[in-house]
Amino acid sequence: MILQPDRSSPVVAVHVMYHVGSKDERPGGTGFAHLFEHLLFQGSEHVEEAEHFRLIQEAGGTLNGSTWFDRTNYFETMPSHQLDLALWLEADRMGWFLPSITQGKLDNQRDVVKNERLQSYENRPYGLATETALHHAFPAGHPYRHPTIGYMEDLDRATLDDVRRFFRTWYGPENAVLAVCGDFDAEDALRRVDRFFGEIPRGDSPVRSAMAQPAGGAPEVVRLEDSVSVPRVYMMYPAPSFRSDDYETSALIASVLAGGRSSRLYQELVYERRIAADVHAFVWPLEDVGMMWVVATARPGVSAEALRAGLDETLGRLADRPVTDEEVSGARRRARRQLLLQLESVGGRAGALALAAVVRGDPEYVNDAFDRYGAVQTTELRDLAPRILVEERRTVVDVVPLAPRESSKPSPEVLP
Amino acid sequence: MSLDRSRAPEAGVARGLQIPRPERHRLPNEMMVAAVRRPRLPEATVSLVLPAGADSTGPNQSGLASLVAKVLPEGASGKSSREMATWLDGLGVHLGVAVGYDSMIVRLHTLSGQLAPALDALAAVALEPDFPPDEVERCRSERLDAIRRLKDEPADVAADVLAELLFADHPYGRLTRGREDTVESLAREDLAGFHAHRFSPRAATLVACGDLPEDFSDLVAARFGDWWGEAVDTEPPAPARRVANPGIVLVDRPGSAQSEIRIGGIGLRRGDPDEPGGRVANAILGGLFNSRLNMNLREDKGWTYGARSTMSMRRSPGPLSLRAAVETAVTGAAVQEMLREVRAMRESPPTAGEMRTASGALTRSLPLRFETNAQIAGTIAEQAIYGLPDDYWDTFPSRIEQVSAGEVQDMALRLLDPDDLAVLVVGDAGAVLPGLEQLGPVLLRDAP
Repeated sequence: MILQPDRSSPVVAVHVMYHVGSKDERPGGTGFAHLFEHLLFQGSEHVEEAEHFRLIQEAGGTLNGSTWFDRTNYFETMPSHQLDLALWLEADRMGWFLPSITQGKLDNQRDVVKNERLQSYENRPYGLATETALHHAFPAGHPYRHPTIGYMEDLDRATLDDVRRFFRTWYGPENAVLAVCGDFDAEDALRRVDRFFGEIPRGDSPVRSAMAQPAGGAPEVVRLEDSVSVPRVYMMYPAPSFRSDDYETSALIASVLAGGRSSRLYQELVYERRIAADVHAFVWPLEDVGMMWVVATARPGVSAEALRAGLDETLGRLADRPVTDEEVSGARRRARRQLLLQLESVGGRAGALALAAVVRGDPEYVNDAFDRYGAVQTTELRDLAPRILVEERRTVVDVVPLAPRESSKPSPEVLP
Repeated sequence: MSLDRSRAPEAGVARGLQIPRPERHRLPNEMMVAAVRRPRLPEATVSLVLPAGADSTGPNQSGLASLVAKVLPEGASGKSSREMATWLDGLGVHLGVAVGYDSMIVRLHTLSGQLAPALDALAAVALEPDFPPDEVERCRSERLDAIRRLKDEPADVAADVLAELLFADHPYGRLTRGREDTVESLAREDLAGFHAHRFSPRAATLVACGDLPEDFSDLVAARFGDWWGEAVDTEPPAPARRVANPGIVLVDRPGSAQSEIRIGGIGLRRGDPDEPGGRVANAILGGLFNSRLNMNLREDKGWTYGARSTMSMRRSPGPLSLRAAVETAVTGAAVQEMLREVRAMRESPPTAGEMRTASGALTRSLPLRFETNAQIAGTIAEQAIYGLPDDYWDTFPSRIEQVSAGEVQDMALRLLDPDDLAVLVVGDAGAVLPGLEQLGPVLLRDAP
C-alpha cells in the first residue's frame, strides 16, 4: 500500500493494480485477463450490477480500468471527500466478487469485448499490426506472444469456472498494490484503508513461472494486407525491460530517433527525403522483455520496401555519426518534462507509483526517475543503441494496402 | 465500529474548491495576459489564444486555419524549419498549434528552467512566421495525404459526412482540416493573409499557468509589447440553417467488421441560456456510462463497445450527435434502438434517479476540472473564447441543480426531433442495406 498525501487540490486518486495480465493466460485462453477486468465492473456482493459506474460518476468522480501484458489496473479520481466510496467499491470487488458473477454477465461482457476487438483492432486501419509482430517475434507458448485483447475464438471459450479460478489465483490482496494519492491525512487514510480492506483474506499466492525469454526475431519480413491506402512499417527490437538499469537510456534512444521534429528519423524521412508521412519510436515499460518499436507511415507512392530501406539507412548512420551531447541533452529535457506531465495529476501519479511497485518492486522509482533521466550520459546511448538495434533480432511487419475489394452492394445512387 | 458493507459509505465533508482566478492585465497594445502562479512542480504551460479558428473562413477556404497552424512552426523570424525544430527540441519544449472551429491556440509546455527561451520561440512562431514557400508546399502535400487517408478510418469518414449532412456550406460543414479541393487551392498568400488579419494583440489572450517567475509579466512584455495590430472581427458565424433531412445515408465500406452509426441534429451554442438543460439532457441520453444509450446498446444488448452522445457547444450552435460502432449484423436494429431512445427522451421526463446522477456527475466533478496546469489554462482560454463571466464555474453547480425534469424533456422536444435528425451509417452496404431499408429510404453515397 502506498499513500502519497498532496493537499494542493481537493481530489484523491485510488488505484488498485493486480500483478496479473495477458501473459498469465493459458494457451487457448487469450484475452481472458481483459475480459475478466470487464467483469469486475459488473458489481460484487454488496454492489448491484451497473451501480459501480453510477456511484462514482454521480459522486463527481472518473474511473476506468485497463489490462496489459504484466498487470491489470482499476482506478478512480474522486473529489477528496468521497475517498470512502472508492475504497469501499475497490474492497468489495477484491473481497466479495465471486457471489455476484453470473452467466448472463459473462455472456454480455464477452459480446462487449468482442465488439471492442472489432472496433479498436479489426475495423481500425493498421489495427492488427502489433499483434502480428508479437506473434512472429516470440516463440509458441511465450507469454508475450499474444495481444491483451485476445483472439475471438478464445474469448468464446471462457467459462464461469475460468472466472472463479482466475479470481482465486490472481485477485488476492497479496498480489495487489493499492496506491492512494491526493488530498488526505496519511494516518486517517491508513485507518480507512484498513477498515475496508483489512479483513480480506489472502488468496492462493500465485506462483509465476520464470522470467520469459527474449524475442527471437523473425528472419523474414511479415507482410500484412489491410484496408489502408498507404503502407506502414512496424519494426520491433527486443530492448531493456522496465526493471533494467538501462530502461531510461533506451527511452532516450527512442527520443533521439523520433522524439521531435529535429530527430534523426523525422528529419531524414519526413523532411529531407519525404518518403514518410510520420515516424515514431518508443519503448514499452514491460516486466520481462522490453520492446522498442520503430513505426513509420509511407507517403503515397512509396513502397514498404523503400520506406524500410530509408529507415535502415538512418538507423545505420548511428555507427559513423554517433549520438551527440546536444541530442542527448534535448532528449533528457523532453523526458523530464513528460514525466512531470504524468506526475502532475493525482491519477497519473498513483498509476506511476503502482506500476513501479508492481513491476520494479520499488515505488521509490517515481521519486528517482526525474534524476535518473537527468543523469543518463551520451556514452551510455552510444553503447546501448547498437546493442538494441540489431537487425537479426528484430521483427518487421509491412502493412500494405489490400487490393480493392468488390462490394456486394446494389448499384449505388451516388450524391455529388 | 463495525462496517456495514451493504450500503455505500457516506461522503465526508467537501473541502471547498478554490477556483483559481488568474492575475490579469492588458499590455498597451491591448493584448490580455492572464497568469496563475502554481509553483508545485518545475514546469509551466503557456497558451496564446487567437480568434483564428476554422469558423473564420468560408467554405471554399475550408482547411485554411488548420494549414496555417501546421505551417506556423516551420520557419519563423528568419529561422528555417530545421533550425526551429532543433531549437525547440534542444530546449525540451513542446510547442503545438491547436485549431478548433472557435479559435487557434499556440501552446507550449516547458520545464520552468527553459521558460524564457520557450517564450522567445512562442513569440517567433505566433508573431513572425515566415511561411517559407517550400514548407507551405510540403505541409500542403502532407495535409492532402492525410485527408486522403481519412477514408481508411471509418470513424473519421462518419465525422466528415455527418458535418456535411448537418451544416452543408456553413463553416461547421467541414472538418477543420478541410477537403482536398479547398486545400489544393490555398495559396501561400492566403495563409499569410489569414495570419495578418486574425493574429492581432487587440484580440489575443496569453494564458499561463504553473511555475512562473515573479517577473513573468516583464518576460511577456519584452516579447509581446512591440506587437501591434488592427482590430479583428470576432463575430461568431451565423447559426446554421438545418438542411433538409435526406433520410438514412449509407456510406459503403466493403468488408467492414462493424458499422459506425451517427444520428445527429443541431444543438446549442456555448453560453445559450438553455445550456444547463442541454447538458443534463445529453448526460442522461448518452453523456455518462450509465446513460440510456450505453445501458441499452452495450450493457443490455452487448452490440457495441460503447454508445454515447455528444453536444458540441461552439460559438454558434454545433452538432448534437449520438454515436456507436456496432457489429454489422445488428446495424438496423441498433439504429432503431437509438431512435427509440430519442423518442423516449421526448415522451416523458427523466426519472428522479436519472436527474440525480446527471446533476451529480456535472456539478460534483468540478474539482477534477481544476487539477492540472493544462486544465486551469484551458478553462481560462475557454472563458476568453466564449466570453464567459469570471464567476461562470462558481455558479455552474447551482445552474445545473435548478434544471427540472420537465426542462430536460423540453430540451429533447426542441433539439431531438427524430424526423429531423440525420441518420448516417458507415459500413458494409451489402450486409446492412436490407436491415436499414426496413426503417426508411436509404441513400447510398461515397465517402468525401
